[in-house]
Amino acid sequence: MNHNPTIVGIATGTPDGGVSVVRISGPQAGPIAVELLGKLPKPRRLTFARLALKSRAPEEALVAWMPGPASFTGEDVVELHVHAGLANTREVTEAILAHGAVAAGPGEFSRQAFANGKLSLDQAEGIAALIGAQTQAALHQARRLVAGELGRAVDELRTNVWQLLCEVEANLDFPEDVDTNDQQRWHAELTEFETTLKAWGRRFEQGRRARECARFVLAGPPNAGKSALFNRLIGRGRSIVSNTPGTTRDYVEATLELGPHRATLVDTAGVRSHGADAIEVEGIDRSHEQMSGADLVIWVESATEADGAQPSLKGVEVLRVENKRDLGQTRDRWIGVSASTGHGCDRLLAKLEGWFASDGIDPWIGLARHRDRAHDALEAVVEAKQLLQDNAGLELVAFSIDVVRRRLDEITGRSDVGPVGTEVLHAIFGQFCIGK
Amino acid sequence: MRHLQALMQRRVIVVGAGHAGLEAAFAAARVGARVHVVTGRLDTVGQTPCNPSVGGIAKGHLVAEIDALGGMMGRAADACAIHGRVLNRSKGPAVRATRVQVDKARYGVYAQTMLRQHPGVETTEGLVARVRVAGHRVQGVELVDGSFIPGEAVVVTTGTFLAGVLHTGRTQTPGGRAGEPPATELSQHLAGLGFTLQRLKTGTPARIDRCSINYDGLEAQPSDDPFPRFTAPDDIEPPPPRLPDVHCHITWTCPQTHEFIRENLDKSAMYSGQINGRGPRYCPSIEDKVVRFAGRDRHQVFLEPEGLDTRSVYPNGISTSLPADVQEAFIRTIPGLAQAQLLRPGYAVEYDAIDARSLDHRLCSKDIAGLYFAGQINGTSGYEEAGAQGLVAGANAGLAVARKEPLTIARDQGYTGVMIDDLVTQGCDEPYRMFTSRAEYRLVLREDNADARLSELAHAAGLIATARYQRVCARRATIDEIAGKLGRGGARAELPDAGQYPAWLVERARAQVCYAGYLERQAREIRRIRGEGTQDLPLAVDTNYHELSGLSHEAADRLARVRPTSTAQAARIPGMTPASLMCLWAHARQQQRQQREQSSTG
Repeated sequence: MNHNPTIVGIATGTPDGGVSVVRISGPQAGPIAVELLGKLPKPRRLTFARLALKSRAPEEALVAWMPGPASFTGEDVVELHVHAGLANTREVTEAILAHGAVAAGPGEFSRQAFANGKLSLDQAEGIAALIGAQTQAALHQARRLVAGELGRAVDELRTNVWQLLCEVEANLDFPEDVDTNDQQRWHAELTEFETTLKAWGRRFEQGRRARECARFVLAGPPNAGKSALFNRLIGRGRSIVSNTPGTTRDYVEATLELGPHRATLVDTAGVRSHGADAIEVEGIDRSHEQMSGADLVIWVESATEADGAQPSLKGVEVLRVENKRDLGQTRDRWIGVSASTGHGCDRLLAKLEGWFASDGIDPWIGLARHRDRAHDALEAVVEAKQLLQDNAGLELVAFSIDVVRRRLDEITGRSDVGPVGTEVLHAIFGQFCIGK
Repeated sequence: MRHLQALMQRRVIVVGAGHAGLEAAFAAARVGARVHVVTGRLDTVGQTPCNPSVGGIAKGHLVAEIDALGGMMGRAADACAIHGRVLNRSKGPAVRATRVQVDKARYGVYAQTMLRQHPGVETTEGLVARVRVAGHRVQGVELVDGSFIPGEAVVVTTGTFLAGVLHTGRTQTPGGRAGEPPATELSQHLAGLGFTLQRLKTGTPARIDRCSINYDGLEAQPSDDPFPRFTAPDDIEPPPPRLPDVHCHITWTCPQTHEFIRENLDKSAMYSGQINGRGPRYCPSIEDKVVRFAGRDRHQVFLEPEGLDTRSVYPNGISTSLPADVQEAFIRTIPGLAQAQLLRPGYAVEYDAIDARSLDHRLCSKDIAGLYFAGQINGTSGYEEAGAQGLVAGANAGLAVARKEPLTIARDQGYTGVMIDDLVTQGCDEPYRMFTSRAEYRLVLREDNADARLSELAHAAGLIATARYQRVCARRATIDEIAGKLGRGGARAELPDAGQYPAWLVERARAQVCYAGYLERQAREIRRIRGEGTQDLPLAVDTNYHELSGLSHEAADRLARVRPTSTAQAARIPGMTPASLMCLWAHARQQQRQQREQSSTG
């Protein structure tokens, strides 16, 4: 007897629409539907039915019966299209729970689908991303993820990595039987993996930029005119502007529309090391915090002042802007603007929009987890190459290549918990003539 | 009745005296049991019926482990070696391995002498028909002649003898190996006891008269210098003196060989459908190679002398079940073998093996207390695999009758542990041979550190003497000292006072330094696969998996077949999903809680 739980959940978003879909998935889906409907409708046909509920009056519903494994979750699935509304959907759900189903947790239908091999992990994550998408770009990327574009690319690379691993392993276990110890070719193949993974990295980053709401932080010494520039850029007086240094005490945010993209522009308190009172010091701390969390820091200094002390910003992109160009120019190669006249602001905005532009790189789907695993794989490829070059021992090269394979497996969630090595051995025997 | 109990007491019966049986007998005796070996013929004890080599990649690791656990194989191989090489020398120390060719006759004599002289071991010549079992507990063995030998534990090491059938062409002869009868009754009896039997197959090539081989133009393969050994140079018992050294030679099959074999395929026992047993893919017969790798126009053949006083040469790489006349004809197409005289034809042997998933990690039956199995009967192939299992099964049988803690070797402690865990967790559908790629902790399981890895276990079980254990500790201290001096410079660093230490210890220290850092990395990788932070919890072998909620039917079936003893073992069953494992952990935790509550209230 199968004791897998049967789960029930409301598959539609809010209960204030006209229709809600209640989904039942699991081995008991059929029997529960029989309890509620009297009999099962024909599979895969939307059928009118009356549900027997606690209330005397039956609920009228459209019912779809999708026996597994040819269903979204791979289990037996029943979907009840009922009238929406909190009370109604609750009564329907409770009737189903009373027949032995359990309430589905977040993402549990997708998890069932993953467990049954209907979806790879990256596809399941794509569904979550699709539901959560806020912008056109994010939606587009999530669709491609659900369609399996990333998974296919990963599988292709994995196949090549796998092939190389088998060759190396055959050399370790059967040195007298195989004569394919072609280290130069192995090196070339590793270089190819490296190129592929590096390109992925650039495309993931491009995808992230296109998908996420970027954070641009205006920062610089006090009285550089950051707030004036902030107001000019967003096109309204949001930040308080004065000639007194240190006017901005806390950071101020506004949304900046840049063509199809959207960014959060942040105005921060000027950074200085002397002459600040306690409140300003707190503001400066927040400025540092904002800068380190920025996608781009727009570092603003005044054309009328000497260089301010720019804090070191590791790993953060910085765009240098000289304000008050209407009063002079001190810095070459900085973008010159005048917040008061608006001069140069169009150029600055174009530059900011350019941050999203892809320079010919096709922005790629892939969430942070995918990017990180791909990055781990890249590191292991580089390590394997180095070990091969250093003649450090083929068993260490094999170790690194195996790490590459596992990280790629983790992206699609296909790594098996089973025994290590058996899979490799099976492949080796199929390919090489082993045997003395 | 009391008399019988006295006879049974603390006695371990070992059935068979091949590589598994001998190690089992000696190990059981070393841990303090009285041992009774029952074997078909005392003059064929410790035979090497297939190739003359001992060791090799991953197999050499097993021999080193047998030696570290106080076993015989390494010492016997050293004493009888006539050719020796270190394989994988161009690679790192973890995958380097010793392989020697032994003088087969001398190896047999060495084993027989040891069996005769070993304290605590007595022998009987005879065939075992039945294991007497009462109330799920072993009582002893019944021989085909009707006699009964009482014992508290029985270790079954029947090799290829269990319902063995030899095939040469269409000719079938019941037998365990050439010239010896099979154990047929025992096979039926084990099936009656509830063991699942499967049919496996292995093979051996013809033997060629050395004087009929033309060695001109064949590539000679000399031994390595220094000659490799399994026993440590500073061993407490000095290593035996060496025998003279002989060369092996390499030749190749040619297109005519393959064509001839193809023409006669229908006469092969394997291709005529006469053999049902699964053969090993890593050791295919020449018929198999010609069919499966049709694109290759030649295959390597190693000509290995079988001893100093014999003219018999073992042509490694052309095992076959073709008729004798076809064998002779195809062998004569091979360069150097045009005039070859066959001393005896090759043959395939089919035999019964049990499903090792019915055993626990001591190699003891989960259902019948005191009944142990080791070697080919568990589905493995190879002397080394058999020896290592025999040692573990014998030691555990001995420890059990002495009511002492069992000896179990974990996967990160030795190849022996990897092999036994693979066998009892996955079973096998072809003869199982050890490979380094089976060991996920390959980088730390080296031939050179087998003593450091296993001596503590061996000493605790009583398998090695205290003096020997102390020797290993001293060795390890010196290696650590040298490793410390090599320090951050790594394995290739200059050692300032290298002359102060024996070269072989410096080499071991370099090996240790070479993999420093990988210990933790390997462990991390394995945790990643098997689930981070999950505790290993015991599982009862009688757990009803089909009644556990949350387990898929498929997972429950797999678990029921293996009956794992711990959640970690369950995690290694092929095809287990993370979801089913989570469910198992939940169940095991609940069981543990209940037990704790029961013990606190009771």
